[in-house]
Amino acid sequence: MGCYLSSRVTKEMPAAVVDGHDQVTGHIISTTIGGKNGEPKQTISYMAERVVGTGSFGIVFQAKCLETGETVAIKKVLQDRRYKNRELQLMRVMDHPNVVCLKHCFFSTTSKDELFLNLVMEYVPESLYRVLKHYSSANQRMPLVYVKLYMYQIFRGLAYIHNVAGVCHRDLKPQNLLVDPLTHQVKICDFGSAKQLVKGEANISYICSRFYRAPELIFGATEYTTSIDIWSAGCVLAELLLGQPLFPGENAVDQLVEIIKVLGTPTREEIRCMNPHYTDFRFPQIKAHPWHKIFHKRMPPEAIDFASRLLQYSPSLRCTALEACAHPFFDELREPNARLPNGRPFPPLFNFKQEVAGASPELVNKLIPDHIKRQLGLSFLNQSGT
Amino acid sequence: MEEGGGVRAGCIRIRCPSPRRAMSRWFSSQGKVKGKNKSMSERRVRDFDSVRIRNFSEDGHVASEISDSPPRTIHSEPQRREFLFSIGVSCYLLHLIATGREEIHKTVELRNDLEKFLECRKDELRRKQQEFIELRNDIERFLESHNYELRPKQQQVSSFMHQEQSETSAFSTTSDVVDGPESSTTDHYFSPQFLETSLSVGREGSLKHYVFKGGEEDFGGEMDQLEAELEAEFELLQIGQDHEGTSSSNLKEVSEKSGDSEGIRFSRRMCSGAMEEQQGVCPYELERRLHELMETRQVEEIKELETALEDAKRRLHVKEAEASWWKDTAFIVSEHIPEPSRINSNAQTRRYPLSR
Repeated sequence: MGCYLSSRVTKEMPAAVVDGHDQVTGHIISTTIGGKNGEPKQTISYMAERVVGTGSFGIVFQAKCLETGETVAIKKVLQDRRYKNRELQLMRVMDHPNVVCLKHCFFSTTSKDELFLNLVMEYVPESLYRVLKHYSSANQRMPLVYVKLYMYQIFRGLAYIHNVAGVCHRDLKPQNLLVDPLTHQVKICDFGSAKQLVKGEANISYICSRFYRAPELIFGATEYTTSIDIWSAGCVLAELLLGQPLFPGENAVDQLVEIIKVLGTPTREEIRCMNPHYTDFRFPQIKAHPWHKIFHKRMPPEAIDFASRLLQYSPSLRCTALEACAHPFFDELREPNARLPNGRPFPPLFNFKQEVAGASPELVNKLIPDHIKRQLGLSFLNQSGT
Repeated sequence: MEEGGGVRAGCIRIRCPSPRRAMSRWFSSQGKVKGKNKSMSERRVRDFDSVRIRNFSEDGHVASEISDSPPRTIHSEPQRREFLFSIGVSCYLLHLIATGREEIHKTVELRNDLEKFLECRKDELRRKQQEFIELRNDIERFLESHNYELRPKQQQVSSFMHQEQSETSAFSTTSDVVDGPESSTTDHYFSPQFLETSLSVGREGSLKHYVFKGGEEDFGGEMDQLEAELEAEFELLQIGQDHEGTSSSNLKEVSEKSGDSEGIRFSRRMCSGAMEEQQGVCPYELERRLHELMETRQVEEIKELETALEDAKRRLHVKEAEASWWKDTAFIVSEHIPEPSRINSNAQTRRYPLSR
């Protein structure tokens, strides 16, 4: 919740231009904030510690704020002077416990006269990718309670991103899901591909990482919805349950073949829903592989049912993020005495605010467990019911 | 008979004298011979003058007879012979002329026939050229609209085309268009050489070559053969494509049906490598992969069924062995049973070994 306040503060902070350095590690970056409307100027210095991620976008490095001692993650991206940075625009408005929080931002220049945008975000030490790797290297499966806990938070975060911010993340994958190893709080990060989708407007289909790409994207659809994130989340769920990616395709066609291996050949109607341009093709009919055969024998039926509801060919048939949160698979989390295996309490899971606005009372009723309702009192229920 | 007897036909211009002219010429030459004779007689008269003068005193009649009749009687025999010879020669000439004229007429007719024939050939060639162009356009369209699908087969098709081309060059006399088989190393996907070759066959200029090569009948045959080969190839391409994916023809239909550029653009860009990533998967590639998957699954199923069958057989053998063992045991036991109480069972046990 602290993120709420800090992000609100950073929103008002002007982007200051500082002299950056090509080499990140070990450098101190100083920037001034404030100085407007009679506010006192304040200098913030960041000590770059290590690079935690690189990509086509730029780099992400871990840094420490020298004034507060707080560890942050700074995403440094090349800034095109002609355009506004979409990621910054989106992150400015994001404010949710399951979405990584933007603390501050500033521009930096290099000797080559390149302009960089530095997004200072809260630092979360682990990613779901690393957690998964940890389990698979130990030849173990992630305990189901963690799967539930992580997935629930992912869907909560998605519900916020989709419903409140009206944004589609478009690159949901274990690498972009940060996990606090102590609190087990999950935060969605990397909004570099995110976009506010407008109905009737075309968007590029070449987004999202391969294993997590929705079939309509592989079919080249340009008018997709936020349900592509639901598919990606479904892939993440399956990966957490299986210990390996469910659809490990080596290329686009391969990816689709992997999907067809599990879901069977899409029907004409399903193809029409994904991309009408492909309805004239008659693909060989591959039988679907039963979901219960995909997972191990002791997999609870609700987990299988949940996966099958997320991984649907027809985008409209995939459940929404909020509906996903209400799925019986997460009932264990709603138990009154539910706790982490180490006895510690769960991170906050039911502090819904804007994301439930517009949801049906039945859904809200399902989402908020009775013990929480009792804690909050009937007033909350009435509020959310309207 | 026409005057002069010359026939004007094409580039050939032959002057042939008519028999009348020949006769008149001959007769005029006869006159000339007569004149010659006259002068000769005059000369003779002059020679005889002295005789006449000499004999004048004797008889004036005689003198006159000497000057007129006696020379005729002297020279009439060789003249007649000459005359007869001349008539014979002229008759022979007339005969020669008549046969010559006939020959010439025949030649002219033949020439006319030949011209007509050539005209027909020209028309036929023009028609065939048109067909070739249409066929080429068909192939071109076909290849263009499906080049992505055929790209993996590019080498194969290309070599096929070039093979066709080298075959074609054997028929084509316009070798300047054909690069020769060594050009097949270059990668011409749409095989422009092949198309050019097919065109060159029907060119105006090439007609002469074909005609004057003499093998007119063969030429027509070759043309048909070439055309047949082209059509066969076209069909082969279509069949190959249909075999590869039944939906390919659907796509063609779609793009034709839709008519707008969107459909065509869609079909063209779909499988073009890097574009695929941005525009969606290639349906043919997906189809191919799914067929492979289907095959793999069927093979697995067959293996499973075979294993199950083997297992069932093995169990059956075990059961059979068990059954026979029980039978043997039952027999042995029945042998050693001392006097069963019931007559019925006794009879049965006795009958049993007999039945075996």
